[in-house]
Amino acid sequence: MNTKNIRRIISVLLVLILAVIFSFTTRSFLDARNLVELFRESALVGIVALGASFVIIGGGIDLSTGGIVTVSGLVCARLSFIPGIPGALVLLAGVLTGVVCGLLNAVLVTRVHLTEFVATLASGFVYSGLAMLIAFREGGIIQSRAITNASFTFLGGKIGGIYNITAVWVVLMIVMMLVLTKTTFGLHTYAQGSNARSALMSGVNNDFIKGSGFVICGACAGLAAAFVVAKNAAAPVTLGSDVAFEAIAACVVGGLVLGGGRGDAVGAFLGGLFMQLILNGIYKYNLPIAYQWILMGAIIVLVTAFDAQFNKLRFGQKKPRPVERKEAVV
Amino acid sequence: MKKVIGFLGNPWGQRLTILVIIAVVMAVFQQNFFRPSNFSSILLAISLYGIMACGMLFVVLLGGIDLSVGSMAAMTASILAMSAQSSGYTAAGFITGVLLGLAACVAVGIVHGVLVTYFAIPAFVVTLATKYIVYGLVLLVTGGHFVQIIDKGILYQLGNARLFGAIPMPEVIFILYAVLCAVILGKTVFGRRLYATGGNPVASKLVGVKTNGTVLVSYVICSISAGIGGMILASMNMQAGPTTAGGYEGNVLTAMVVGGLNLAGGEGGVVGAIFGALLVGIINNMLILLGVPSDYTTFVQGVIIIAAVSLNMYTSRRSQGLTRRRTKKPPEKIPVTR
Amino acid sequence: MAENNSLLACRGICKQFGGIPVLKSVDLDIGPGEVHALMGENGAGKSTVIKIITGVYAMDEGQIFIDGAPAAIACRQDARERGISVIYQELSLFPALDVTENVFIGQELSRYGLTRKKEMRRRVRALIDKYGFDLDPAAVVGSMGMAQRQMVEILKALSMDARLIIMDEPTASLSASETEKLFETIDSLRKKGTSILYISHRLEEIYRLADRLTVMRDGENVGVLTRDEITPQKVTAMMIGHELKEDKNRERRHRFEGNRLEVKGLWYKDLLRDVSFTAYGGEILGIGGLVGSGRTELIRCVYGAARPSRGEIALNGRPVSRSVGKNIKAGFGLVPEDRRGEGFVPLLSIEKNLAAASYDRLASFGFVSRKKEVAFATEAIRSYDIRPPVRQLPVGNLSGGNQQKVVLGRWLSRKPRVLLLDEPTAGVDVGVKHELYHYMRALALSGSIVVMVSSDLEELTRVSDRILVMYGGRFFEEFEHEKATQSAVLLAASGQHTGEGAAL
Repeated sequence: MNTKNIRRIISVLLVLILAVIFSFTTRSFLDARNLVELFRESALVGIVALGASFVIIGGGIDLSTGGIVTVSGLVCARLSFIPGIPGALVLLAGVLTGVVCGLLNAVLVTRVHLTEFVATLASGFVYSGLAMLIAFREGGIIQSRAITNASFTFLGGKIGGIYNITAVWVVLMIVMMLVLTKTTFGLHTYAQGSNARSALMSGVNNDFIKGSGFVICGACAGLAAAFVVAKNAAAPVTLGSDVAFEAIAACVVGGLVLGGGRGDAVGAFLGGLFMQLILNGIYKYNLPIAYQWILMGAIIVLVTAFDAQFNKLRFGQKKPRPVERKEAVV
Repeated sequence: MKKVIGFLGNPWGQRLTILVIIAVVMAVFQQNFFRPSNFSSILLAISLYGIMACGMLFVVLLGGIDLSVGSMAAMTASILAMSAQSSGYTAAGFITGVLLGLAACVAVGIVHGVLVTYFAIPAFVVTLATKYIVYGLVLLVTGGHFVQIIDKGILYQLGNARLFGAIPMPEVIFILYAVLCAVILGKTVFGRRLYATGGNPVASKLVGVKTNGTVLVSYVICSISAGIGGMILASMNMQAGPTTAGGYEGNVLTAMVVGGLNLAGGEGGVVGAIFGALLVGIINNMLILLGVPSDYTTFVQGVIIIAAVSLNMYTSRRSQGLTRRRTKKPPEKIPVTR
Repeated sequence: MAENNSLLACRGICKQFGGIPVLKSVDLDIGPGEVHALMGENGAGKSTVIKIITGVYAMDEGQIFIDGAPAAIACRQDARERGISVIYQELSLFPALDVTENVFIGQELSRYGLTRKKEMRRRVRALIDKYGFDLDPAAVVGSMGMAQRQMVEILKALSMDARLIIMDEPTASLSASETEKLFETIDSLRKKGTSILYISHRLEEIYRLADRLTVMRDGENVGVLTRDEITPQKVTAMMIGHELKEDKNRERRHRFEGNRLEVKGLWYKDLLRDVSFTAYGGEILGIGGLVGSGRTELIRCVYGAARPSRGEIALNGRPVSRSVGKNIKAGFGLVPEDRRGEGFVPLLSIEKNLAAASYDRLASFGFVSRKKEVAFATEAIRSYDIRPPVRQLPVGNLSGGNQQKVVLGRWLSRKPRVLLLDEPTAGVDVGVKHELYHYMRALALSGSIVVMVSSDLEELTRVSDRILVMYGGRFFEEFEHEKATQSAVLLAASGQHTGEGAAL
């Protein structure tokens, strides 16, 4: 049994256990309506986690996704007030905002050579700050304004009983699974996360892979934001407050090892679902929302500690011993 | 050009440049900045950042980071306020609150240290997670409400009294704390070991340094500093709750990078941390005077962090001759052996 | 031998680094389907030759022929296209990927942007079958042992149609059974006509594998031996060359029996098996042996930096602690092998690096006495002639020799009872080398125990009063200074007893 399987089993089990508990203790859990709502609510964090999975598998981290969600959401909200603008264009603008933010991250990391967490932590501040700049204000106070553009809010609705955002989430998961497993790009992402130096020597364009990961991540964040804004018909500046953290937690639960090289899109999907299940449980049992933060934090710590220990136990002795070299002291 | 880069690569060069820029901007736009009363309010504000930055310094010198300082400050602030309130604002309640708060900080610091050393989890992952855990705990304990402090006793004095009727208490505490940290870093064996561990942990182990212990103690010091900051903040605001000191990790991190500290560890000192805190205080004050809404502080902080770290990175890479060698085809230059 | 019989022929290759000739007219011929061994002491120039063949370095003079035709190899890609591949010492595999993906990384087959996994698997399968490897194309590399990982590296080379595979000390991180597996792999490669250039320090591997052997010394090749000509005596004689008859009749050093380090029955992982020895004050005890024979681990166990699984270590009858800190206080010191990685803190100043291990003396109640610290550093800088003599300068900015003086000075200033040195003069120029020997000798004369691990045979035989040679995780032979010759030590390191030493 290898790490990959164990981690998949853990993430599936976690989701199943929660689902079973809820289905037995609350009457309405398995209702079609409840499930439809569950999959809608999971989609924001879920889609961002899908994007973040590229960065994480490639050995990086993106702490700016929350900021990207907020700023993209506000761009959408602003644009939707232009009379006669088609919803698709608003959606596109949201995604493009995400892409631009992702590009900036990519430049900071691959060209300016900043440490990823510093770069994305700071750029996250910038993006959420930008959102403040473009937020609706009344008398200087930030106000959320109801969106009335029907062609845009249509995106937040359902087709065939399933929310658009859920459909997008599932399709995105399938596409990303294909990209990760079936394309050279995906293979190179794993290679980079697994052993960046060797990847470079094998002809992998590390900067391109890393940069693309950030762009994909940004695009996903923008996309998710647009759909959520369309559904809620409003874009508060708190839209993406803790999304970065939740997305990372989702990835970690889903079996993506921080440090890179392991995990896949299905894992990120399951992780997103898990995050929402926890939240649902908290609401159902009328627990303080505080438990959500405590649980997520604890999960990140526990699972990451597990990964570290597991690898140590398994590969600790097998690591190649350093070999001394004394020649060619130039 | 070379001289300019050399100047900007030097920490004092950077500090001076930033100060000059600020002075010019303020001279042009808002002369109120130069009033003595404004300076004293800046000093009051930076005493909080300063205490927390001095603590964070220990961790940054080891190449680590602590993103949970804001949550920890909220935690101690709430513990102190609740303890004082429930005891009817007696001195005993105050002391119990302080001790409980510090104990909680020590506990969190130990958790950080253990996870970072023995489990080898990156510091920012650990502290990002504990930031939310601690925040959740504070929410739970306070029920999400602010605890109001409605007594002008000893708790009030902590943040609002003036020494000799002139120097505000927070500044006194800050100065004492900064001196203490400077002494620990500069004059003690622990300080020497901290710098050694930050610069080369393996070599440090071989000269008998218990590196894991050093790291652990540093995280505890950082937690305690955040806690002290939180308590003063509670007293200054006369209330404490989950969002007390919210976003302070951004302020402290900004202080670290504009103070010229290398986030990779091994170099820097209290002067840098204090200068960083001072700059953050000045910048925040500047934004207020210029009439920029407080919502924009995170934006400005983000830009400043990126600019400062990029500049550091550029000058250090430049001095190592790395900037020009970057070509489209790097593989050829990678040596075969380590 | 004529060039046109050879797969690869090098003629008169010269290379200089900063004006210092590293290779002086090297010739090398490798026939098709031949396992050709390359031997030589450290610094003989083997790695440089490989780097020139594989296009990492450009040669200053000389010519390379492939299949008898002159070939220009300017970069790694050139070498690869001509069928030359290297198996690196540190493997360059991706643990998270499977065998097929590892083999094809960077040169994936794809159609419409999608990778053709099945086709790639099929090709890897075909290669595996052709060479009879014991591998599954779908297995994840992370779950494999070192020997299998090496096979994946070899597969990677074969998939690029490699005709010559260069292996540089491939057994350094393998266990005995894994080594045997590798040898079987090499045999099957030879049968299929793939040539192998095999670099190793281990004579027994050379006998087992090589069809021919080229021996290098000081940047020249000193001869080619065919399979039947390879004998330990001949090879060592060629590697060492004409041994200078030095004055072995120097005055017998006084042994301070009162200062005694005893090690009994030490076991550590699979690297040390029942090692025992006694070192005395007043003498420099040299420890020789090949890389991987357990020398470094031995002195690390003594120092407390590695935890032996069994065994006793005692200094003057008192058991030695397993904590580095306590041992330092008890008078131990270690100069590690990897100077930059383990020896000093590059960003810290000379004075703080010097004082790093001595705060038990330079501080009271946890507070450093600045006066004592400065005096300590100033004295050390003066005594050991560290240049430039500026206390505040970061050690990272010094030359290699001066860095080593700082590392050594840190201990010498403490007058340690036991000083353990691991390759103390590696990468240090000749002048500084002799200074370092002088300091070591002075310390020994004052009654301290000095233990020196070294791969430099000349250094070992000249400086040590007594030499213990390790082989396969235990001491193999002991030499007194008077009888130690470089060739005898080298033979002992390869598991050959000689008349000069005493078998252990």
